[in-house]
Amino acid sequence: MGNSVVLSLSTKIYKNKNIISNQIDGETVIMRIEENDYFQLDETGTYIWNIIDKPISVIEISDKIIEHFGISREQSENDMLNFINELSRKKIVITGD
Amino acid sequence: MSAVQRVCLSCGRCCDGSIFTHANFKEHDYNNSDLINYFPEIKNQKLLSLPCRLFTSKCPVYNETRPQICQTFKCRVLHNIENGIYGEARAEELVAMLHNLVGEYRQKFEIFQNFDDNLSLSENHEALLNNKKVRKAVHVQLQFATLKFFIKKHFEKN
Repeated sequence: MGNSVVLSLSTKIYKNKNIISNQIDGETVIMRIEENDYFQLDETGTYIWNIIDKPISVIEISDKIIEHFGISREQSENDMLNFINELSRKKIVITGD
Repeated sequence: MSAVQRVCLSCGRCCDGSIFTHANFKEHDYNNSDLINYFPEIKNQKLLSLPCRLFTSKCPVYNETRPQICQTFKCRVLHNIENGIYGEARAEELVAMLHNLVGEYRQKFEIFQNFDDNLSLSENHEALLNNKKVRKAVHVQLQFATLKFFIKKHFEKN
């Protein structure tokens, strides 16, 4: 798997091992060790963060989000692709088919 | 005692240097002789360094003479109780989380060096970052960032 930022629903993602994270009150703070910077994930981001220890496709994540948060497929898939693109661009997640 | 006072007293993180490094003395404080006994530095300083030297696990002068800012400052949690945004139980939960975060921070910090109780948490953190013997205390840094995010979201005023 490389670090492609061209995503499709079949793209699989998982956490970059050079990232450490902490959770508090349903939210997550992640740290990129090499860059020494931090990001905060909200409740939805935290939900995704908790299910990407192993490679999982965008569509599988989307299905889980639809079930968990009760949102529409269209909204879920758009939000997911934007969010994962951002994580991938920052090398917080590894992506690949 | 009101819910705001109970929660405020159970927290104390404004006073112990976990949230702030300094507090501003106000005009009213400069003429308060009782206060000058506690804080003689009022005569020549505008800032009270934190941790407050009177503070132990609680403010021992909560109902007595305190600097004006200590009497009037309300963090976001206290504002939210006052404005009915959430109740005392949620406020206590947030204070407990803050206590845990600070405790975990100190635990991780003390793997590398002793925590100086005369300095604020941020000043201790800076000292750790400047310690050339410490290569990369990433878990302390993450804990510090988590604490700061949590404080910003729940305790700092808008």
